[in-house]
Amino acid sequence: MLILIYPLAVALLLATCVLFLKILVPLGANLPFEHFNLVTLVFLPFGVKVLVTLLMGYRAFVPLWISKTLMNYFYFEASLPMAMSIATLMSLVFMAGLAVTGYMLRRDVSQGLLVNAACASTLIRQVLFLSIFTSLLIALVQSSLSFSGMYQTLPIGRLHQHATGLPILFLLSDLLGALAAFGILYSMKNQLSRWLNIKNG
Amino acid sequence: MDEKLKLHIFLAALLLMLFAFQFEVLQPFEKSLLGKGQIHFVDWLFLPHGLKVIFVVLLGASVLWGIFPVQLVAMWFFLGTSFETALVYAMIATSGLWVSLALLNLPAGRPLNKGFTSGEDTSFRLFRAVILIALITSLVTALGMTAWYASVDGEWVFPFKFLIGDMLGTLVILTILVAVRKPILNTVKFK
Repeated sequence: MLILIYPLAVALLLATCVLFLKILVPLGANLPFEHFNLVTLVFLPFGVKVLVTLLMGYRAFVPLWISKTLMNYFYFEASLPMAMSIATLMSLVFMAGLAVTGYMLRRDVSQGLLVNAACASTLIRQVLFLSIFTSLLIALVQSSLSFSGMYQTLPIGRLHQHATGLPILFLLSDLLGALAAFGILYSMKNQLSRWLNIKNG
Repeated sequence: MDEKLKLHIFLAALLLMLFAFQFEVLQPFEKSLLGKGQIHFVDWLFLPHGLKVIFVVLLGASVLWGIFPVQLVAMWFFLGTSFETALVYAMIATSGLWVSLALLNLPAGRPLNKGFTSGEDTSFRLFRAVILIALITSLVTALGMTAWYASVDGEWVFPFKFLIGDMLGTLVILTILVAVRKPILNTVKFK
């Protein structure tokens, strides 16, 4: 049964990316704001990636890497080595975020944050830490990649035109995306609390 | 004068002296050793970051009132940046310190502005707090300053130079602090 979690996570990540790129981004492009695109500002896939990392721990590297490689290769038309390199880098950033969260909590987080979670509110605060730290790191790596000119070779380059506000845009979109996922988690607070009580006896 | 205020003024003066040492001694030495490079205003070893972080870890957010003007003055006078850049740096670096302190206190359910020496939370080691606050603050500073300088300098290494400089600076200051810990403790005991 456990092996099923990998294809499920990949499917969930891909579905969110497709939903975001095919529906939310075109919707946002029709909004009457020239430089402030409300929809791309909320980067939902980030929130889902955080949730997958929260549930799977370091094992989340596999679905994150597969989904990112597939998206880069098929949707953004990157060459396979480049798609794989970017996917490796981005998945490692999530693992680094998880590792730092584990270091802060002095806890083994290899199975994710949900295992041995003390209570729902603590878990949510820990997830908030993980999201903010990871989004800071991603914004930094993304702006470096953008400065290095790597994105210029990809069709994705068209999404990275406003260089001055780019790092902040990355940060904001990830944070708001995480906040959306965080909101979903918060609305499930009572169920989560019950589930954790049953699990921890 | 209030003892606490005296302490904060002393710490601010100490930080200002370290900034002066960084920009007047260490930076020219680093440039002569490694060459000027394209991003000449960011150092690979930035000692003031370490001191700032240790102040925040020990005393909490109250120390930020002293850190903000020191950073502004240091950038403006010693590094010779424009007033706008100095102000942006001081704002970003100070808010970065607060954000990281709050982020570390949040999961533990502690008051957001509290430092880590109050004793009621012995499970949280100071070393961890220093490393994490240094890391998060330097991420925030690197990102903010990247956004500020993006129109000037599009070098890919730019954000990471901030990050590495800050982290190395923290490690050096932390090592010095650990090395001189016993004489300091002995002096305090003697007093």
